[in-house]
Amino acid sequence: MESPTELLQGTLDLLILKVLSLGPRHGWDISQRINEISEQLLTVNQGSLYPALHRLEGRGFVDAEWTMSATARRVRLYKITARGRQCLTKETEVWRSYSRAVDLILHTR
Amino acid sequence: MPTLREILRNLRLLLTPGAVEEDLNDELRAHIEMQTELNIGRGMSAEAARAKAERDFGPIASVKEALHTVHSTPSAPIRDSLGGDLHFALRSLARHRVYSGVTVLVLALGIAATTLMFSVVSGVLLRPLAFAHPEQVVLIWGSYPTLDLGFSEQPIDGMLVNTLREHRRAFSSISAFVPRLYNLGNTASPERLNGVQVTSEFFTSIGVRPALGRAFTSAEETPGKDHVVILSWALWQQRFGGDPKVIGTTITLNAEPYTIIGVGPEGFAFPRGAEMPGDFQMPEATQLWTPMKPPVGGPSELAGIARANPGITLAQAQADLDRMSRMQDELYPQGRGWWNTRATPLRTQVVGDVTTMLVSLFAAASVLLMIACVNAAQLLLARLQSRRHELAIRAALGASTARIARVLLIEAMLITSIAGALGIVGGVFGVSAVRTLGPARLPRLADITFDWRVGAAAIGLTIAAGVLFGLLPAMRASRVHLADALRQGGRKTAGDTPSVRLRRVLVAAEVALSVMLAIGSGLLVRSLAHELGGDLGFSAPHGLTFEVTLPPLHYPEKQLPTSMLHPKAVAFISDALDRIRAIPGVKAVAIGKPLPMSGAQESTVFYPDDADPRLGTYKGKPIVEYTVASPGLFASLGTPLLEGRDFSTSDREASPGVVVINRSMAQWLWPGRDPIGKRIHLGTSTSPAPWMTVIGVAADIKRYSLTEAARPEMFVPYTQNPYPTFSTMQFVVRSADEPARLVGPIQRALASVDPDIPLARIRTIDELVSDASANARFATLVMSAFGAVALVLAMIGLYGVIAFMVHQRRQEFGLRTALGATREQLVQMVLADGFMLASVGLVVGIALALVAGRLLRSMLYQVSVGDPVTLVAVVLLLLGTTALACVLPAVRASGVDPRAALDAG
Repeated sequence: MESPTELLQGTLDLLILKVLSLGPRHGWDISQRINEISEQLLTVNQGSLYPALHRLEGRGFVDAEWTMSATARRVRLYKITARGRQCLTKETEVWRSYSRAVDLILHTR
Repeated sequence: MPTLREILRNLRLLLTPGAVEEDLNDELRAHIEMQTELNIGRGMSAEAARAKAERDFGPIASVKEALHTVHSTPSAPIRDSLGGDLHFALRSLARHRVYSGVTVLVLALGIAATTLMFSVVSGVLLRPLAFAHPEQVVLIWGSYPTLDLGFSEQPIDGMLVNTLREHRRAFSSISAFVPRLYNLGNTASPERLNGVQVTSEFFTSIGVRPALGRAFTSAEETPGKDHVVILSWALWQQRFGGDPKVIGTTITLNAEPYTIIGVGPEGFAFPRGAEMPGDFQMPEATQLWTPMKPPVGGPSELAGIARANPGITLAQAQADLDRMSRMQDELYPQGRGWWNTRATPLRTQVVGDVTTMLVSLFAAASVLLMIACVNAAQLLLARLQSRRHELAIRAALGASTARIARVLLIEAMLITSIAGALGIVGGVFGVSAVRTLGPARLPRLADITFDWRVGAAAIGLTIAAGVLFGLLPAMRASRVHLADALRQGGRKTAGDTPSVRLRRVLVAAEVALSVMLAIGSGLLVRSLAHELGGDLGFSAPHGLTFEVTLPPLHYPEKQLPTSMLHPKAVAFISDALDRIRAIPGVKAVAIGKPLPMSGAQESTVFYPDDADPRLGTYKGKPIVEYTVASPGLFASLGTPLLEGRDFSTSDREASPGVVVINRSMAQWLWPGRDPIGKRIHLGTSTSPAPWMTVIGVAADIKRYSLTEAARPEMFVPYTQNPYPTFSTMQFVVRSADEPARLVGPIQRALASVDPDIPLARIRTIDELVSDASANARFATLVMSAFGAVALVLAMIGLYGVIAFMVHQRRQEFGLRTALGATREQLVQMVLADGFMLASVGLVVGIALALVAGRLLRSMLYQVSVGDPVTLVAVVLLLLGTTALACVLPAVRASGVDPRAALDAG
C-alpha cells in the first residue's frame, strides 16, 4: 500500500466534525475512526488533531468533558454541538462542490 | 460577544494555568496509552508497543506548544475586534515578563534621558528670555585688547557710561549696574542681602516692569533721593509675606532707611551670578535693586546693559559704541585707548559657555535613545524568531498576514506606550532633580521645565523604530509555510536568515554607539580627575571661609589717592582675628581678599625695580593678580611659603612697605636670582607709590578655575593696601577637624566685636572647589550614567544574539561533542563569535568617538580626544563586558548532551 496521504489543510476540521456527528468520542478514538473509515488512506497527525479539537471547542462547535472510558481510563470525551452540526452541513456542501469542481477539471480531456 | 462558556474557559485559563496544563497532559497521555494497548494487541512487546506509540505521536512538546497557541488565541466572536487583539497582546506580554520588562525598561531609560536633556537644552539655550524683546538687549563690557587677562569682559568706566547715555544714537536706553551687599535691619539678627545698584533706566533697558509699584526715576539717581529700593519677588515673598502694603514702607539697609517703591516680577533676579562673568562677583540671584548715579573716578566695577532701537543689528550697535569711544578719546585724551567697549547679546551672555556642555550631553542622550531603540528592535526580532512556530500556526488557523502584523504592532505599541509613560515620569523627576540639584553655575536653572513636545517626539521615534525593526520581519515571518514550521518544530530555522543577519548588524551598531559614549565619559572622567587632582596651591580639607561687610556709615572708606584702610576697620579686623584665633579647634585664621575660587579676583599694574627692562609684559599682560592679606593667610589657606617670611603684626601702615610674590612672578621678574629683598611699587614707573620690598615667595594658587595656568600674583598686607574696595572682607579659617562646627563660635566671636555685622557666604574650601568644578562634575556624572547604561544595553544585546546562536546550533555542538570536540573548544567557538561581533562594534565605535570627541574638546582639561589611557580602558571594559555576555551561552553550548541534541533532530 502507498504511504498514507497527509490531510489537506483545513479538511481535518471537517473530518472531525463528521466523525463526532456519529457519536461522542475521545481523541485517540477519533484518529482511529478516521483511519478506519478512510481505509487507512488518511492518517491524522496528532500534532494537528489536538489543536484542532481544542480550537473547535473554543469556537463552540464541539463540547468536551472528562469521563471514564470502557477501559476505566480518564479520557476527554468530545461531542458535537448544534452549532457544530450546522457547520458540518454547510462545510460538507462546500467540500462537495469543491471536490466536484476539482474532479471536473481533472477529468477534462 | 463571547459566550458564557468561553468566558469561563478563559477565566479558568487565567486563574489556574496549572490545572489546564494538567488536563492537557492527561489527555495526551491517555492517547499514547491507548495506542500502546492497541500495539500490544497486535502482538508487540510492552516496551516496543509504547516506544512505537510515542514515536507515532511525535514530539509532545510541539503538540503542547500548538495547544497553548490555540488556547491563547481568542476564539471567533472576539477575534476581529481591536479589543480582542489588545487583550491578546497584553496576555502575550504578560507571558514573557522578562522580555517585556527588559524592553520597557530599556526604552523608558532612553526616553527619560533624551527628554530630560532636551528639556535642559530647551530651557537654557532655546527658550526666549522672559524680557520684552530680549534680542534688542546687549551687555556692554570694557574691552582692552592689550590686556588679555584670560577673560574677556572688563568693567566699563562711569565717565564712559555718562557719555554713552548722552550721545547714544542706536540705543533707546543705556544703564550700568554693580553688585552691592546690604545688611538688612539694625537689630540683633542682621541678614545680608544680595543687592545690585543700577542707574535709573535699568528696568527699561532689560525690558521688565515691576509687578507692584514703579521703576526708578532719573531724579532718584541724585544722592539724598536715592534711598529707595525695589525688592525681588522672592525676597518680597520670603521676608514680607507677599504683602502688597509694603510699598511705601521703610526698611533699614546698611543702617540707613530705604523706602520700598516696587517689587520685581516673579522669577526676575537679574543679574544672576551664573549668567555673568565670574569676576564681576554678581550675586547668585539678585534680591533687591537700588538706584545710583554712575560713579566717576576710582577703579570701576560697572557692567553695562543697553537696549538697541528696533531693527538695529549687533554690528550697528557696536559701531555706535565705537563712535562714542572715539568721542571719549577726544574728551579724555589721558585715557585714550581705554574707552573701547564690546557689545554682547544678552542671550549669548546669559547662556555663556555651557552651550558645548549641554549640546554634548543632549547628543549623548540622543545616542542613548538610539541604542535603546536598537536594543528594543533587537529584542523584538529575537522574540519573533522564537515565535516563528507560533506565528505559523496562527497563520494556518486562518489569521491573515495583516492580522498577525496587527497583533505584533499592537504588542510593539503597548511596549512603547508603557515605556513612554515610564520614560516621561522619569523625565519629569529628572527635570525637578536638575532644578534642585543642578550645578550652581548652570545658567537659567529656573527656566528648565519638562518639555512635552520632546517627550512626544521621543516616543514617536521609539514607535517608528519598533515598527521598522519589528514589523518588517514580522511580515516575513508570518508568511512562513505552516507545514515547514510544524515539521521543524520551530527549531531548525536556518542560521543565516535575513533577520538573524539584521540582528547581528544591530548588535554591532549598538556596541559601536555604546563604545562612543563610554569613550566620551572616560575622557570627561579623566579630565575631571586632572582638575581635582591638580595642585591647587592651597589645601581644601579643614578650611572654612566666610565674608563680612562693614557698613560704610560706621566704617567709612577713604578716597584715592592717599587712601588706606580706616583705623576703625583695621581695629575690627585685628580684633576679629584675635578672637577667632582663640576659639578651640582653630589652627589659623586670616583675611584674604580675594580668596581663590570665590568669584571676583583683582589685579593691578605695577613696576619692578632691578628687573630686566626687556621683560616687557608677562605673556602680553602688564598686570599681576593682587591679593590683600593679613598675617597667617598662607598658613590658613595651606599654601606653602617657598622662601622668606609671612607678614607679621609689625607690618603696619607706617612701617616700610612689604610684599609677598608667587613663584610665577619671581621666575618672571628675576629668573635665576634671589627675589627676596627686591622692590616693586604699584602703578607705572612714574607713579609716586611707595616701594614695597619682597619678603617672601609663595606657591602658585589657582584663583578662578581648576583648569587655569598659573599667573603672577602679589600679596599686600591689609594695613598697607592703598586701594579702597575693602568694605567686604573674606575670612579663611583652618580648623583641626570638621570646620562647619566652628560657625557658631565664630558668629559669637564676631558679635562680641560688632553685633551688627552678619556672617555671609559661609563656605568650606571643599565647597568652593566643588562649586568651581560643578559643571564639569555635572557633565561627567550625566555622561558616565549614559555610558554605563549604554554598555549594559550592549551587553544585553550581545547576550541575546549569542544565546540565540547557541540555541540554534546546539545540534551542531552535540555532534561536535560526539565527534570528540572538548568543552574548551566549544566555549572558544562561542566566545570567538561574540568577540568578533564586539570587535567590529569596537573599531567602528572608536572611529566614531574620535570624530564626535571634537565636540568635547573644549570641555577637556589635560586630556586629548584620542587619550590612549581612555581608549585602552574602554577596550578592556568592552572585552570584559563581551566575555560576561558570552560566558553563559558558551557554557550552555559546551554542556549540550550529544544524544539529546541528535534526538531532537
